[in-house]
Amino acid sequence: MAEHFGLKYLRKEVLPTAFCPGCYNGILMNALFQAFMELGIEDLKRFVFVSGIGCSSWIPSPFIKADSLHTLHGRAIPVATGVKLANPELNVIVIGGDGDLASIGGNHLLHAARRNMDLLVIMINNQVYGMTRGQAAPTTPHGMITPTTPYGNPERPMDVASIIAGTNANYVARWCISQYIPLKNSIKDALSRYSRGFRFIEVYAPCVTYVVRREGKTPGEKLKELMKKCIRIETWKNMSREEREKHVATGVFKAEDKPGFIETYNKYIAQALGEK
Amino acid sequence: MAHYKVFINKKLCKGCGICIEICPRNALRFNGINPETGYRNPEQVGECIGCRQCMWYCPDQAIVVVDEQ
Repeated sequence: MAEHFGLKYLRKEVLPTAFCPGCYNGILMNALFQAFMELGIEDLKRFVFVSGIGCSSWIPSPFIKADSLHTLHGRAIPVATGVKLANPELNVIVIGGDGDLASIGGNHLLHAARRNMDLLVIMINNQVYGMTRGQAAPTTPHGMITPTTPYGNPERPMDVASIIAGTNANYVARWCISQYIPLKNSIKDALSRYSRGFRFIEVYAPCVTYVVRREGKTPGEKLKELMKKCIRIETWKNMSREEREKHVATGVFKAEDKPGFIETYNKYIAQALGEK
Repeated sequence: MAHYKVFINKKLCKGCGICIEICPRNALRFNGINPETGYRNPEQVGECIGCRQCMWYCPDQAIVVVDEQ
C-alpha cells in the first residue's frame, strides 16, 4: 500500500498525533512536508525546530523526525536565536501558537523581527488559548463568546502579520488553513527564495474544539466556510469597514531580501578585528 | 483514462469527516466504527477524479490517493 508523503518526516512510533479529531494543525504539517518534498529535502538533518508551550507547539516536538527543542512558555524565539548564533549553518524553524508567540512572547517576536534574525517563524492563530480550554486571547475576534468573555469579547483582535510587517522583517505573509496551495508555496518561498533574515508566516486556523464546535459546526463545514471568508489583501483593501470585519485578509504582506542579522554581525566582527 | 483509488490508513484516522465534506464528487462515506481506535472510518464509494484535496486536508496523514493506470 502506498504511503502518505508526510510519513517519511514523522516519527511513526508516536502516531497518531495527540491533536483533537479534525485539528487544523495537521493540515499545516501536510503543507510543511509537501514544501520540504518539493524542495528535495529528504532528511531534516540540517533543521532545528524550536517550540514553546501550546497545542501547536506539539507539532515539532514529538512528531517531526528532526532535532527539536521544547522550551519555556513564550520563549521559543530567544532559544532559536541562540541556536542560530551558535551554529549559523542550521535552518532554524519556530512553530508556535498565538498565545505562545504573540501573547506571552510578544516582545521577543517584535525584537527578533526588528533585528531581522535569520529564523522562519510559523505562527498558528487559533483565536483562543486552546490548551487551557479556550479563554479569550489577544487574537480573539470582537464579540466571540469564550469562558472568560461570557457576553462576547469587548476587545478587538491584534493583527499580528501587519505588526511584524512594520518592523525590519524580510518576509511576512498570512494564509488561511483552507488555502493549502498558497500556504505551501509560501513556506517554500520562505525556505528558498527568501532564505535569510526574519520570515514570518501567520496561519489562520480556528481551534476546532473551542471555536468551531462552540459555533455548532463540524471541522469540514468550517473549512468550506473559511474558503469563502478568507480573501486576498488586494481585494480586502477596497472593501468598506463593515465588509472588512466579516473577511480575513490573506496574502504576502512584505517580501524583501535584505541581509539578515548574522551577515551584518559578521561584518561588524571583521571590522572590529581589522582595527587592531 | 486515469483511475484513482483512495486508501485510508485505519490506524491513523480519527473520523473527523473533513475528507467526506471536502470531496467534490461525494466519493467518500463513513462505514462503521473501527473497534481498534473507536473512531468512524471513511471508505470510497464513488468515482475519484484525483483532485487530492482529501489527502492535503487530512489532519492525520491517513489518506493516500493513488493513480492506478
